[in-house]
Amino acid sequence: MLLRWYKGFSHKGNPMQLVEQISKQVLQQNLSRFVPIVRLEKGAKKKTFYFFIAIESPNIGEVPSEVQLKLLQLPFFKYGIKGSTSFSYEEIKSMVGANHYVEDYTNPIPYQFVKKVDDRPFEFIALHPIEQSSADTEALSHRHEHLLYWLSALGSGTWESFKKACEALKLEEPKRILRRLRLLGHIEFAPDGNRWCTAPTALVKVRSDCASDKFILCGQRSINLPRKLELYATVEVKKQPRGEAPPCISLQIDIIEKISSEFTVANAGEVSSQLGTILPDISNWKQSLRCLQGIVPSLYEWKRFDGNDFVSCVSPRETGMYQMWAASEQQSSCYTLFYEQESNRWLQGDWYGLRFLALQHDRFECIVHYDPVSWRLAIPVSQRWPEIYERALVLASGLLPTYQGSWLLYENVGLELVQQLSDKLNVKWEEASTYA
Amino acid sequence: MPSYTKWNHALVSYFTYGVPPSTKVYLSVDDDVLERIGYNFSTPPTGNNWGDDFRAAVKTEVIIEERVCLDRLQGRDFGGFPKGVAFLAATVLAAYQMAETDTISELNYFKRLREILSLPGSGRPLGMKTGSAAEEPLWKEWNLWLMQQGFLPSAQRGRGGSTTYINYPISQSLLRGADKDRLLVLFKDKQWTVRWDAQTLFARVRKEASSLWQHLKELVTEDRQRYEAVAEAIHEIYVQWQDEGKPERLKKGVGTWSSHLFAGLCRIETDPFLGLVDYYVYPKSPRGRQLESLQVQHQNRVYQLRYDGSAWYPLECRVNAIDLDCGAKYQINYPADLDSLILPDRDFWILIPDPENPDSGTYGSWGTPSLGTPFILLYKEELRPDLERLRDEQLIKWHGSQPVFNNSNWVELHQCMVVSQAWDGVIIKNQELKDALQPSVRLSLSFSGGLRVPQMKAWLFGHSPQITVFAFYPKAQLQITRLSDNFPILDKWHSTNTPISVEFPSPSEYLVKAIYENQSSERFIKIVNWDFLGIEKKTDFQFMLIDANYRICGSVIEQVSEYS
Repeated sequence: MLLRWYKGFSHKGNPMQLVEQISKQVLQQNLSRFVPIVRLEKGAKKKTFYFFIAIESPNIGEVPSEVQLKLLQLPFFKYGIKGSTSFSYEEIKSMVGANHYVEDYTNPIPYQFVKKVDDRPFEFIALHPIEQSSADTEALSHRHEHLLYWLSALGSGTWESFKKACEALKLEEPKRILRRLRLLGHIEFAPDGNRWCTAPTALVKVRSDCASDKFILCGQRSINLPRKLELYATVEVKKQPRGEAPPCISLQIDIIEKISSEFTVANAGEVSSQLGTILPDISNWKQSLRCLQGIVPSLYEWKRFDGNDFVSCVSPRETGMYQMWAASEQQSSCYTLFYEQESNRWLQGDWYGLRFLALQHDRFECIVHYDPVSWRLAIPVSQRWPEIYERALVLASGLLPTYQGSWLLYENVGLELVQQLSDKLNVKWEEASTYA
Repeated sequence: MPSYTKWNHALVSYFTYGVPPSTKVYLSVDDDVLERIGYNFSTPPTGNNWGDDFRAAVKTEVIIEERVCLDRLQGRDFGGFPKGVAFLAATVLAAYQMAETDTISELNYFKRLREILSLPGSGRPLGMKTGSAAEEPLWKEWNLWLMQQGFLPSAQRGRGGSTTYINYPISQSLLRGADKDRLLVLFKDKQWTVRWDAQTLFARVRKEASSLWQHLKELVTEDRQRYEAVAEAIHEIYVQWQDEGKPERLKKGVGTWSSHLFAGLCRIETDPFLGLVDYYVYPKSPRGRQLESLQVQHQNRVYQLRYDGSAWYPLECRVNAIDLDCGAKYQINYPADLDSLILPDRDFWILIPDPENPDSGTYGSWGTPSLGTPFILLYKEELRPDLERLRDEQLIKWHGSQPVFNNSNWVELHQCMVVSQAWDGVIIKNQELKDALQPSVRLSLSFSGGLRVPQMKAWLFGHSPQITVFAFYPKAQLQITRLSDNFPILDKWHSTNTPISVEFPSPSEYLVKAIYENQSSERFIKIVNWDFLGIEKKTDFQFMLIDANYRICGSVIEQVSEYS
């Protein structure tokens, strides 16, 4: 059995040169199994200082002969510390603690501290998309498609795994990808933001001018599924705007029951109009949000949304949307919450949804423009709807909105849906026909 | 009488079912194991005991006219299992029997193997003239199969001379009969009554190493790579001894299972921002027992637990500080022969990333941390001086600590990592902590990144992982071979502890090997094409409530009343 103990010396000269020379000798003579580390005295400079070599031997104070012959003959070891031939770590700890210089000869595995980034899925800032070339769009679309294949094969997972998959596929901004996939009916996310799960494969009916019914494919999909569906339907693949999500697969089908009987595919019906009917109004939707318990405001720094930006505030008192900031050595992150002063509740949810609540609470006029000829709906980018209401719009076409200036344009949206959702969200709608 | 194939399947299952990935698997077959396996067959043994039936089944399969015929045992069967495992088990049995009474030599080993196969004469039997052509391919197939399933093989060739091939079975034998008897004496002398888990018991046995006889002493003090397996084997004896009422000798040919299971800890971060962490228990499958579900009762609530073929789902019942301090016991309602699930009281827990899904952010006590992998150490505050000593001696490093539970003395160390191999000379108060943290290998392979499909134990083509050789050496030789045609795609010295990007030329199966002097580590990697990906059928769809009447998952809307 080996014991580790220390032998101390004093030396006058350059400490780093000393370490360099000792290291050279230890490594050349293969002595690291006897001398694993060397420690310098705290604040060792060119004047006289102490240093200690750790020695491993069966008995404390007994220097292995190899060390005696091949190392301790060097001139640096001329002046041993008088009064003691050996030290325990406890005895020298105050002089050479862990925070001071140590040279390790055991080929240690490098340690790298990884700063934890707490980027939870619902935290973002509003951004306008960046224009890109068609080749980039094509490649991006392809990568999103692969992400959906991977998610479908796994079925469910954690937010961490979602982020890692995006990273592997070189897809940036996983939080936005997650929201887009939810809008398109491909995946769901737990309200606490910890886990994702793919949605069942389903055919969603959309309005069409064709003779046969038109459906879009939502939820889990594999690379082979569209090929198989081609045997039963006319399949059309259309890229999403900017390639920011898996392509929309639409099918013209004469008899949907044929597909339902052959594949595990649900017939979801006309989902956008169903949602138009069953979605609650905005105040009831607010009540359904997850309430976060146990927040002590004095422990955090706060910023309040003023309708345009987040501005610092002392402590949340009024109802509104807030960023709660925690800054520690290990993580710096923020949590966006909606504070309801009357009930003293902290609500958590989709970022755009919380912003929409804040706008409504602050009595900003929320508007939409609708073109009944083109069935196109325009919503100001700054007033984007809560995710589940926006999902109703997106599932009317299977396509994400396009950007036009400061507006978001949704395709294939029926008038009745516009009326229903505008009423529920206290949004003022106007007819307009100016959007190309 | 169960056929050779039936024994073959039963042995594979016994040694791998419920075993966490990245665990070293030992084919440590002795007569007690054969009894336990036989107990699961629906019929009683034809002979005196299951060991005799096993020997008869192997003989029938491999002996043709007093000649060992291993040709038919090469490769895999229709179920994908290596066909030679039962024969290899017979060779391990021979190694055990030799070790009980004889000196270790090729002559004595083959004497015992001949006895098992009822072959007269001495030396290598006919049909097994060269180890490289006879038994070695079977061992290689078994090792490869283990790696394909995500386990680590343990059987290895000797370092030359007459033990080159007999080292394979010898390397698999752990506790001999005499070791078991000596352990019973130790348990009795010490009057141990606590239901410790394997690691705690092993630390206690190690403390008594000086009083053990030579072989057992070597098992518990040398070759750290075998510690985990030896600890499990000793624990099996201890549990059986307790269950049988602490007798002088254990009953032979009983083949029954313990009435309780041990539990591990699983850590799930529920809110990283608020620092909220929940701990749950999960059952640890006893070796060889095929449990697919459990019904556990705790405080008037009944929980169903499922085993999904690779891991248990944790019990959805949070562990608190008192449970950790004093241990906890959960009543098992099903199966009927099990009484309780025991969370042992320990001074610390080492929590490693989920081996099935390392990117999930979930940590648990699934095994020992591999080199270079950060882990979380959950410990009682009184261990802090020991941990600081280990850090001061440059053996471990960490970054950040956080108390868990209110008003408890449990603390988590974050991003903990073992950085040095020079542990032997450093003595701390808690020997069990040192045993658990001290690395058992000097070199290991790690895969990170890429796009992995856990269900297929594979990575997607074009998104293969980076390979890191973690080692206490500056460089190591890295070899990658495509298994379908034995084509070497890489054979080069690389710096250790740095990720290496490798271009895998095609979807296929590859063997990755890192070598430095007499140390080596092997891992299997499978690369598949995108069109291999299917749709996961077992998804528990997460529905989101729209209001009191409706819920939605993706595009599918359901009425709540239909399902609630």
